[in-house]
Amino acid sequence: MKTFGLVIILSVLATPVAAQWVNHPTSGIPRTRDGKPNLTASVPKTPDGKVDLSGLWQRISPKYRRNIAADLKPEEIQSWARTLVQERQEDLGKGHMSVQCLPWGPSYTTSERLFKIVQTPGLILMLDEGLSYRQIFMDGRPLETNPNPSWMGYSVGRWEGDTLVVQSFGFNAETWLDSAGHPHTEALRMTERYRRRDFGHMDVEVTFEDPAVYARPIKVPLSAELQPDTELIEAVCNEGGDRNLEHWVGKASDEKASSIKVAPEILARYAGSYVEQDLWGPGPHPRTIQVTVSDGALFAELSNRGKVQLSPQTNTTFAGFFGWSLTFVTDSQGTATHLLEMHISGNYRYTKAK
Amino acid sequence: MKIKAVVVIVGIGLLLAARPIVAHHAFAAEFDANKPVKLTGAVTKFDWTNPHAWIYIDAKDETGKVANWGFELAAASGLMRQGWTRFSLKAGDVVTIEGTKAKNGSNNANAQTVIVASTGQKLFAGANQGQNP
Repeated sequence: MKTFGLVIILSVLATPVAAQWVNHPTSGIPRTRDGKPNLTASVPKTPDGKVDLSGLWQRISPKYRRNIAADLKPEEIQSWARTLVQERQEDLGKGHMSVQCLPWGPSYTTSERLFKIVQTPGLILMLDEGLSYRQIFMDGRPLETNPNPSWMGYSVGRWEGDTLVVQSFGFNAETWLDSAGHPHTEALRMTERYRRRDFGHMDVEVTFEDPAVYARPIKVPLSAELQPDTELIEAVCNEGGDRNLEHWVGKASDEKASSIKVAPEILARYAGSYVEQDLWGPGPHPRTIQVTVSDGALFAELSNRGKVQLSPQTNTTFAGFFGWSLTFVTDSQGTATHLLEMHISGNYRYTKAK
Repeated sequence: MKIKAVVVIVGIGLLLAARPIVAHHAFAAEFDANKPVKLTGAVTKFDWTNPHAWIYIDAKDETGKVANWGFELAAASGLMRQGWTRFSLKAGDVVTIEGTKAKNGSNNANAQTVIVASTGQKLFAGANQGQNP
């Protein structure tokens, strides 16, 4: 009894006051002998024998998160849509739902957000930290032919063996399909397929069909990982009002205009592979950045998101990295030892691989 | 003693297990990477808000004039995943903040490091920066 009391007191001391339900052990999940969640245990089933998808999940989508049209040829996208994407990138994504504090719409299904699935026999719910939700009706109802457009659309689901297939329609055209800014119309139809591989892992495939914009359906494969021993945290995006938009004056072209010429022998000292040390942000970690020199210019590639040309602002600081800046930190010989990826929330360190 | 070590290890494990969510708004839209700033002053307001939390301090500039400066942090929800809360900082606390200035010339910057003047404690650091609460 004494020991039990001591454990409780020490648990309280060891857990930050802030932790609360953020670090509360999830009940009813399989654990290994040392108490860790067993994420490779078998797929759980509901009493009626269906796969149970319930739980808190993190989507992982390194390739398509930023650009769902990464595999499309330019001519497969309407020219007005390509122009719109360029304009949105010049504005550094100012109109994106995360900046304007609007629901994410169909791109919710392919973005690297946490989501909670609550599964009942006739209805599956998806809950988001931004307080938006999706209802997927499993009662056999058909989608309406002309639904009033909405942010999160209307969804019906069915089981194909162990795969949940969800069809959605009735989205408004206010949201983007990705952070690059690919648009869609109200004619968009979305099909999601969810297959839980084991206790902790799920394969996801989302197909967007919008022939008014894209010549062929866009298939986005991604995955999701179960997040044990934590919870959703409320994140109401417009709490801060327009405060950050007041300072949102930058354009992507600013830094091209202010770029300077850096000597090729200095650029050559930055080339290499850099591995993330500060594990902020969603997605697979640690991330890596490949830095290369080509034709007198510095290029950087972040974990399969594609290669971008950097705009030198000083001999060590380079802009144009998906809206962030990169600063190289060097030793006494001028060779880079690590780099800093500059975010609003601070600098993330990446160490140069030997 | 053994029990304490186990509990501490489990506590740290739980902290590191959760993947933080941070809104990735473009740094370049608001801040100039070439304009570093470092200011010390008393907190006048701490706004625990999404998509970004803000700290306001009264600080002396290079000319000795006191002005109110706003520093932008990560999302409140992302900070909470790292164990920080609205109670981690209060009005009157004296802090030294390093960051980069806003592009529009206003008294705003992002907050790269926040250090409590009296204790040296580093506030609002990410998972791997060594000093969680």
